[in-house]
Amino acid sequence: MLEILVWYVWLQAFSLGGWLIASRWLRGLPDRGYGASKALGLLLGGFAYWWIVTARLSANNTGAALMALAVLFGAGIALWQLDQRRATDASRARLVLWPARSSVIVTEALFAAGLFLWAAYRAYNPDILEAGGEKFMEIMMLNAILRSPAFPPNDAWLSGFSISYYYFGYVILAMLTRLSGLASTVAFNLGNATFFALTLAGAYSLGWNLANTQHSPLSTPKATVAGLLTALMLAVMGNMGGFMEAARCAGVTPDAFWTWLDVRQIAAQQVECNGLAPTRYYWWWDWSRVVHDYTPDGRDQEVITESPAFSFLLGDNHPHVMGLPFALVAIALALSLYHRPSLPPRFGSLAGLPPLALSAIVVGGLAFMNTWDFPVYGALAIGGLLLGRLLRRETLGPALLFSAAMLALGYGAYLPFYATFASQAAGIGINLFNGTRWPQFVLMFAPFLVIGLAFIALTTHRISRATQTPIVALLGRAAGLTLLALLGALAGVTVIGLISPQLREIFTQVMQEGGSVFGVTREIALQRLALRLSDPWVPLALLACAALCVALILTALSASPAASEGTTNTGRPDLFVLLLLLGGALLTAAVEFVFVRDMFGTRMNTVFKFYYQAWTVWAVAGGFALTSLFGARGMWPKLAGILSGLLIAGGLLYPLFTMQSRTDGFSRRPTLDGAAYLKTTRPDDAAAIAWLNTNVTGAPVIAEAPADRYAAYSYHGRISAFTGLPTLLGWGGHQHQWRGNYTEPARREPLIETLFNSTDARASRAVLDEFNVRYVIVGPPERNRYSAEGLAKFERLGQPVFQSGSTIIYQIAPGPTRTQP
Amino acid sequence: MIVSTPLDPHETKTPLAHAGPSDETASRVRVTRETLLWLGIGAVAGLTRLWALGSAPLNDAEAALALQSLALAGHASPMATAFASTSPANPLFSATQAIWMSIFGATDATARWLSALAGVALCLLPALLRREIGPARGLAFGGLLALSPTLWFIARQSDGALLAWTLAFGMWCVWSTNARAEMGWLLAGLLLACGADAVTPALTVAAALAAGNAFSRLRINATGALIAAGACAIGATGFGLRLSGLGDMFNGYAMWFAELTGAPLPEPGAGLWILPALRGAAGFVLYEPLIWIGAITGGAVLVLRRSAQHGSSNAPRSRDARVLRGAMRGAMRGATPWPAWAGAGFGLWLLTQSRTADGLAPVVIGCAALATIAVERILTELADRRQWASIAAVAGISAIMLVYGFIGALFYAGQGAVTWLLTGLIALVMVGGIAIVAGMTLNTQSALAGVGIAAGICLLLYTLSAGVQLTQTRPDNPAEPYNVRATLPGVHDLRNALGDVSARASGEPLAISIELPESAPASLKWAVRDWQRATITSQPGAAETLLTPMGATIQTDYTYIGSEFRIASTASIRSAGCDDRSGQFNCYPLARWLILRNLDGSAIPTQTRWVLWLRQDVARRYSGR
Repeated sequence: MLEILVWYVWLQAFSLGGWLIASRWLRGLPDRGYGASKALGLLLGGFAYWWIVTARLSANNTGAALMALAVLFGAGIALWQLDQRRATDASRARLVLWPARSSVIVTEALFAAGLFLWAAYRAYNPDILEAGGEKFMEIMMLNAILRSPAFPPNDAWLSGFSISYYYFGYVILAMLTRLSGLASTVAFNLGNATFFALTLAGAYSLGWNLANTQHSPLSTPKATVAGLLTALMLAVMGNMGGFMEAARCAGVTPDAFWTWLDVRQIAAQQVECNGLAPTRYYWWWDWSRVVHDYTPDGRDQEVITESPAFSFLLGDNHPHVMGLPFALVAIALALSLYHRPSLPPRFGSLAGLPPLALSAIVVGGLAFMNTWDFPVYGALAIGGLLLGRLLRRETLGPALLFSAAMLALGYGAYLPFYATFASQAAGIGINLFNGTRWPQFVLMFAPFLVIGLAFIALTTHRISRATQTPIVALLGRAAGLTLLALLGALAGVTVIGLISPQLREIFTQVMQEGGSVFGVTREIALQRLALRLSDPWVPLALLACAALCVALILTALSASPAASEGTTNTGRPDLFVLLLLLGGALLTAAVEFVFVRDMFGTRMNTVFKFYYQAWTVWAVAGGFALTSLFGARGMWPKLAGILSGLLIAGGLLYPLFTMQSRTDGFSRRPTLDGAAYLKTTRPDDAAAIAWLNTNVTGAPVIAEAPADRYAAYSYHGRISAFTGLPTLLGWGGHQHQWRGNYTEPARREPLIETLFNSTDARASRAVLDEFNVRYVIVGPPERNRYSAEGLAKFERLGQPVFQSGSTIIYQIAPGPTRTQP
Repeated sequence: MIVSTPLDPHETKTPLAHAGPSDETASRVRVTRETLLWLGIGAVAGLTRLWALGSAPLNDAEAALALQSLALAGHASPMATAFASTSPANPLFSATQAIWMSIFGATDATARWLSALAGVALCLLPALLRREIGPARGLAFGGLLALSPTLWFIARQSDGALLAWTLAFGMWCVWSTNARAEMGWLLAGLLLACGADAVTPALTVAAALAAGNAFSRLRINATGALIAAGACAIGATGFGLRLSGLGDMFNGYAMWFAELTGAPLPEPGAGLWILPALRGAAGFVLYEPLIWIGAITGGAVLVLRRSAQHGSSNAPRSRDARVLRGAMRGAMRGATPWPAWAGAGFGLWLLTQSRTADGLAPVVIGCAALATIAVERILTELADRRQWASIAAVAGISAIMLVYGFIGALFYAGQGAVTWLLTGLIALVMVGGIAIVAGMTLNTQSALAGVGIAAGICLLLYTLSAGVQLTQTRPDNPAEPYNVRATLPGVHDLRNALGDVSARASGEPLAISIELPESAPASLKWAVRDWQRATITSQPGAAETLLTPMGATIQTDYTYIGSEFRIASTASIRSAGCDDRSGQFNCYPLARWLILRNLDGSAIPTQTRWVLWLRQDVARRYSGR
């Protein structure tokens, strides 16, 4: 409990600093950015911490983290002072949070509840395991950053190299770990709770802000409901997997249904239930793979369809999870720019620098946090800005200039990251054979589909009346745009296919008489293409929705009255919501046609990231949209709202059942220490890890058994994961993903084999000297893999400095050509 | 001529007396004498703090700091390199020390110069307060600080804490007197740059400012903030030479807090010495009787003066009590900055469970300031020349009695007889009697002044002797309360021996190779700082010379010949008390410790010994064979 309190205090310290800045920067929001201030404070603090260490203004220690906090407060106070001088009495009065007090109270309550309750949940399921997620890799990242004397931080799974991954989230986590003084394995779980709490608070704030604009028909209590619904749909609600499992346990679904549904791995599974709750091993994991693809020759092809609830329940601190609260800050920025952009009266004046710099740091930081988020939320921020200006009949020039400057500065602000980052992306691939089936799409997004479609219908009706445009005309415009979009998508796919020499080569080979590529002949390809064309409903529907959103926005713009530049709140949240719905539709439609080529070679990762983003933007839109349905006149919006409510309730079954499964019914003794299980299952390794963490300072190189030959998700690299000490090779498979090649791991594999297996002390010594190894770990993984004779030579090569059972740590004296670290 | 001056900074100042020369002439004459006296204080402070700074070897803490500074200075020696990755807790001190040693060389003396100079400056800072407290009190204040064995000792230790205290006191002097606020901000910035050493002084000054209600007079503006930030940045980064000093500064704050929260709770049942800080507190009582007795006396003078101002001699008893309480409250209000200095400083020192003497600096400052009230009172009495003869007589006789009592204690304490207690008591009784008689025949105030002068002179002599003993004659005595871990001259002997061996075996004084283990104390690593072929290794056993702790086993293929050196000495003073185990109440250990600073019996100091091993071939070359 004390650990959570300490952690909470430091989070609130950053929140206060973030509030000093958000209140000036996000003044377009009714709550003046209060809900975004928590994540904003952490992002800005983390940015300062990262730069302080990168620029060698401090070693990587607690002082750097404190300095970052001081910089955050200094910047906030300076902004206040700057603003106070310019503010009139009236605007000073508006700075007060009193009108938004209900939002402030609920935000704080939600944040505290989210943090403490989720930490309690994590305490029943804290283990940082090597399989069933990426926790090993994540704790390695965190410990490597904590151990590194400077930035860029060491890659603990490839000694001598720096991390080649988007690690900003781990930097923020490391900053909090330093300040709190907690162990990294405890901070890991508290971090997960933090991101959950931040997501709740940020989502609530967005929903409340959308519902509480000047011209909104919703009253404050309904705005609170809108905010809570947004938070619920984004962070708590899962897909329909829980509902479907309950139906299966109730016996209301025949086997044929499941065969038809074709959700990967579920149809063939045994039904194991406890009442309505499923008890099948890892059943909840299966529902993160709702969409089922096939290779052209009919083999299974995995597609990841995680929801935020799944991510939090899993407990991984992966970039897409850590980036979620900060993506919400970017959406808050978009909404603020939409309502009341902080563009200077004359672009280029000093007064415009703070908002530009802050926008650049936030948007640019998304690339450092989770690169996939950058283009999407960056585009959303720019879209919000442009839409707002169009609505107020303002010139677009300054906005475009601002956007360009924001992107350029956002890139420049994170240059040291780009200098060491090697993306595995290798261009755009075209998705010819695997369209998403509509039942699977509905299972994934059911509540959002109902809410979104109903809201679009409601808004169509409203805009039609407000602009006196017949609904048929609106639909006609939408149809035209749909056709245009479809033709454009097909044209785009064709162009990509023609541009890529690789794709041209494949096409040529396949189309030849008797030709084939990876077993795919012309006949097979044509069959799959025909099958694809026979099920076009998902992309068609999505494009149609997107087109209708565009048509509605254009119609509303054409009829909106002129307003003086940059003064009033826009007061049209419905258009912003349409923008969000449009964004989600485009994201989910895009993966029907193209994907980002990576080492997986399929659309798996692209679907994963785009669906995640679509879930986010649709959830943000959903709270306001749902309350709008209930607030509208007539029966059918309310019916749609009730149906949505039922679907949301169905979606809530998933986290309910999953928590029971993950915690074995909350039967374990709670602890936040993610490495506590090692003391029971692998006590010798646990003792060795504790000894290294206590007695070894700096980042000397260690040698332990690797997960080589592209392997991953094994117990190898465990010492470096839990200590942050760099080893020769950790998980080779991940190195391949991160660096896009296997050159260095492949070079090291035989050397590591020699080091551990060879009885030639001189050869082993040469390996030790080449990599400047200071400690060699000999424990169960090493004994299982290497010969006893090979391991015995370390008695001569080094000095045993620690032993617990079968785990020995040998300290290696530096060779004649090496200096002491 | 001594002018009646305000009792405390918050009272209305009385105008200067005009008898004698004109104001302008009088002020010129006063300034000239006063200036000379200040120069004298500076000379005393300089002499006590700078004389023979290198006579005693650096202890472990000093050596670690010095090696860290050497590393910052880019010194290429392996010993300095080993400290390169450590983060200085006080970046201003480390950076300045690094620059200092780069210019003047890396010796024991130059490593201590910075602290010593800060110590001298501390003694001269009361000059800033002369307008508030008067020239006489200011001079007395400076003089007491100059003669304080505690500050004397601290100044002769290479430690950034005194630099921080000097900056803090200077900042307080500037702000509390409303003089040149920009200077105060500059000093504040430099204080912040002291990292971990800045926190306690900053909190103490804050307490003093709050007690003196001076916060409201502080003008916090952008200019001041910029000056402070600039000074902080320049100080922490070593004039821009080391940017990471900024981070070290913040890390220092974190380290202070971590030590505060991580300090182990005292073990129950450990008796009087449950807190490590009490050893230092005992030292303060022993070394600073002039100051703490003076502070008590000064406080009493203040209270009595206030009561005389508030009440009349015919007031009924209950009214007397009320008047006294009111006077005490008034006295406290007037003089609260100084008790706040002492109280806050001591409280923080206890809280941090500090074992070093530098935490007592604010206690000395606060008590010395209060003691100057008593000094001023005595001087006021001396202003009436008619009383000089009687005062001198009382003072002379009292001084003789006190000296008798002290010599008796010294003599009998060495023999172990209980008589040492009696001689002191007799002396005090005699002095008291003289004071009463003189009071009846002369006047009370003159009698008290005479006794006060005698006590002051004796305490002054005692203080001087304690300071000389602590810093010059027995700096390696672990029975001295401030010497928690005394480094012995054996370190110098070892260094000289190494140089000698190197010169005779290889022809050059720094050429020989040395291996020492990672566990070697910093004082040893400092001793071999100049050797380029010195190596820290987990497995010594191959170099021409080795340094190992006494009793360590070495795995080596060579034959070595060893010589032992005594490096450090520690002693617990818990046993320096009275006991009745033998049926007789025996205070002999207490007497010996109090008077002679000797420990015996079970409390004999524990000495740390290291062995210098010469490889056989080197030993042969050294001996000429």
